[in-house]
Amino acid sequence: MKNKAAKKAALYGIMVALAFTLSYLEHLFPLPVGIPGVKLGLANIVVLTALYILTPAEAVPVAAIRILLAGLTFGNAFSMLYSLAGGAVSFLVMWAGKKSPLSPVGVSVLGGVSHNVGQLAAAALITRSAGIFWYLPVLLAAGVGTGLLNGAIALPVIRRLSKSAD
Amino acid sequence: MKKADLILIAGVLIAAGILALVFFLKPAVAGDAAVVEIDGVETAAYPLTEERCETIETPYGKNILVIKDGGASVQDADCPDRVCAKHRAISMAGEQIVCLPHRLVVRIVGAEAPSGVDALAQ
Repeated sequence: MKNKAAKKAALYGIMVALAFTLSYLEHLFPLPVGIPGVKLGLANIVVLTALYILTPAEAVPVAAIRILLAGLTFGNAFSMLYSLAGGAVSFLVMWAGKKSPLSPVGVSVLGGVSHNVGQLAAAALITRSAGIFWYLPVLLAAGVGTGLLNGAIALPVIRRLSKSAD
Repeated sequence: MKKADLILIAGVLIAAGILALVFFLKPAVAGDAAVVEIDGVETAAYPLTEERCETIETPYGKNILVIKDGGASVQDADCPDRVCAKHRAISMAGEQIVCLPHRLVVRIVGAEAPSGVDALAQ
């Protein structure tokens, strides 16, 4: 029992650290696409993995702590707000997607797309301008691309970790 | 990858394509004025025909709006990301520059065609 708790604590630590590092990497090397808001979202590899190898309720803190840490260290109040909006929406959608016939890659695509939609909705609320939805087609397509990439990376990780789980 | 994944991806891409067609294939109409909105409230409108440089004070920070050669652009801003300042000049009705940290939208309006943006807002 005690051993299990220790194992879980270590796993949480590794996952939060990994997600945080991936966020930081992306912050250091932003994508040179020139479209505001488009990024790879590599931290979602970790959140997606957590969703599969832990229970969804256990994966929530991994996603939330990552956003808080990233916002406090190299973001600002605004970027944290958008991250939270995108993160919350994508987490709920991926959770639902996990129960569907989709593979982790499909769930990752769902996550990428819904993350962008959530951020855009937050931006529209804050500026009170529906015109921001002009970006929607671009962000939908970008979400598919980044979701595919992250899903392709997460898939073998999930497979291996599920096997070693007791 | 499963069949369901492919259906999802195709569905999203088709939706994005249809939206893009609806939004972007409208004939571009040159605008008449640049409207400044802070927190969704219109605070100023400048005709595109007159060259000017305005400092816009929002409760969150400053943006410098330049109107030149029939287009509007944000020359500089003290927001953290300065995405607005990197945006190219806008001149067609419906185009906009958004500064999220300052909750500022600069929008081009035209007298003739109502923009897709306005249609969406309703």
